[in-house]
Amino acid sequence: MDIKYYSSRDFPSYLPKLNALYDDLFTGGKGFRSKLVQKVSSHLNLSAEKVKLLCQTIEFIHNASLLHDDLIDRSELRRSKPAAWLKYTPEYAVLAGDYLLARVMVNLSSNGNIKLIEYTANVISDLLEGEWIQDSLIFDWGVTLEQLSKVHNLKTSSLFKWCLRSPFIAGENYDERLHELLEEMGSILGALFQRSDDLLDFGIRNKEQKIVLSDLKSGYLNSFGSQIMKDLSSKEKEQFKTCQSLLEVKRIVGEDNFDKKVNNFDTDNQKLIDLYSHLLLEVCRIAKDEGALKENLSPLAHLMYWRTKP
Amino acid sequence: MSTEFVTIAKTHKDFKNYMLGKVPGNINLISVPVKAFNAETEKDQVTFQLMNKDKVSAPKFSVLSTQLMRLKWLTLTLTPVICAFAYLEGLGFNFNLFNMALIAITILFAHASIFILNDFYDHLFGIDSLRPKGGTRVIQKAWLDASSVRTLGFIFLTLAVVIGVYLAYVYNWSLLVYGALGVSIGWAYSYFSKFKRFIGLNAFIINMFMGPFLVLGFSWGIAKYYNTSLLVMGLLFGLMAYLCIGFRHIENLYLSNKKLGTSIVEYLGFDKARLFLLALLFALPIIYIFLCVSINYQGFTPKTLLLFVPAMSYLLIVKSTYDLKSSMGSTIVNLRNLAAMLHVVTGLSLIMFFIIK
Repeated sequence: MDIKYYSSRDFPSYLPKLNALYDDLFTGGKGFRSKLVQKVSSHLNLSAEKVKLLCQTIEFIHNASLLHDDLIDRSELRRSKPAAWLKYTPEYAVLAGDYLLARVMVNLSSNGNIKLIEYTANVISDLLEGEWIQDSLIFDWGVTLEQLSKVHNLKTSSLFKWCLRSPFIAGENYDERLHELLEEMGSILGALFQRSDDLLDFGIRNKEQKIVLSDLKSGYLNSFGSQIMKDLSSKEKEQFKTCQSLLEVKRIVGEDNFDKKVNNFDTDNQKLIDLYSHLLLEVCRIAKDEGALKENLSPLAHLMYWRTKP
Repeated sequence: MSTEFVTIAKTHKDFKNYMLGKVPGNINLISVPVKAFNAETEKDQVTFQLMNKDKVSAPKFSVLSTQLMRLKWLTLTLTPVICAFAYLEGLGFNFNLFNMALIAITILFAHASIFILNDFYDHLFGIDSLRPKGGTRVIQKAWLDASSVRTLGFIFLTLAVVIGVYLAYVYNWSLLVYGALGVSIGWAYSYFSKFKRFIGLNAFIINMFMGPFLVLGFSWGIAKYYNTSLLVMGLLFGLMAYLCIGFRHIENLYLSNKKLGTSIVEYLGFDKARLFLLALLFALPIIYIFLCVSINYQGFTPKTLLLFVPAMSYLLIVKSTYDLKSSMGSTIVNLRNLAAMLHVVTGLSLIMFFIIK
């Protein structure tokens, strides 16, 4: 089901450029998170209105974070188009992001589920915390995978956790054990998604031919980069920091060593995929799923990391 | 082959066995919690990863034991005692070298047992699961099951007690009280997590007490002697040991979880904690100068220059702390090592000063 979660009628038409900015922002997005919400909701028999509210909420939060992220990182492109802060102004990008978050609160308040409002507010604050920490790690070449995992858990995973948990909260199912498990599953999905993205930056399974080494060139050591860095000598580290191409990276690290690191990274993350599968079985047992939830959620972890269906 | 997991409630009859690393009905498997678990949280279930012991590539037992004993930090325990020994020797006390060696071995065993049992209890309370770099990770990597780690801790404790009893017989029985108190303080440091931190000051109080305790306790136990210099020496080492822990707490700030209890660093938050540690760093030379003046009774001689050796390490750590921008990243990891280096360099300088006639 393709839910239309954005309409220009949701925003004041008298504010100059606001709707144009949102038109640019919302078109071209895959809407993955709202699809995830729908997959979870299909098991729960929520009303169409509630499902639409949840889809709109997550896409508003996600896109608000993109508006702010692009400005903070000074990224020039978003979804192959000029980023909002560049096309319009930085001030408009900030305000447009703030406005989306405010609309989220207005819409959820109208719904009246206080636990959902509380949880959503916590997720937004986690997102901001993650962004803050990430900003402090730019040009820190000694950052560890554990520290990055914290950032990813806040920035990336928090939205996936919300996608998994919010339909149950909206359906007034507050079972603690269930939500603990969903929280862990969301953490895993976020970690896998981010780590796969980090591998793409080093040209691994880069089917979409995205620009490589953009993280490294902007001074940010991503999760795979931190794994490479930890075994390099001081001289190699200095060379690694200034790499401009993948050829240079492989020359410094060694082709065989590079492949070995990829294999080790894949092996560790495959364990996370296995853990996700185990936790999903537990969730299905507690939620008394008749098969729909398992069928919908089972392929996700594999898809997040390997970028193919299992 | 996919990895095996099991999720069970804390009230399950086999829960304790799983926490000890033992999988009921299968002696070839070892269980390790995979998710942050803490006895003080409301979580009532834990997920364990089950690993085949044959497939776990653990290092040799000798390497494992060394890691568990945290020999890297042995200098923090031994240096104050060796310093006190060198000082007393300089004052004219004579000691039997064999018994001195036995004292060093007892301290080594006591140090090992405290840290090994700390690893065990931090695993049991879920603290090291929560902190990816907490402890030696021997249990978390399934190199040894928790039950074996506990046994090893008690073996070292027993060895320390046996030798300690002999030394108490040779010198005086107050050494037994000294030893028991030392181990109890070490145990209390682990167990404080169970009883919540005491206004967030437990590590600070324990270290400021432990420094003088090690120095004065040793001095009184073997020579029935104490003076102000020894007390100040103890305070100096206690403060430097606390700095190592304080920087470690800043490193762990991003993992802070109020339900684990708070250190003073977590209580203050990053900005104020940095100022707190800077204040302690500025107090350090005052204590050190007081000690140097009290021990340098011969006036300025060439060997007095040894007392200036720690200055470079000190200035480096002050600058790094002043420049610290965040509780994450590589700078904070280095600070803990710098603090340990300062402890060792200061101790070695003092020992050399006392030894050289």
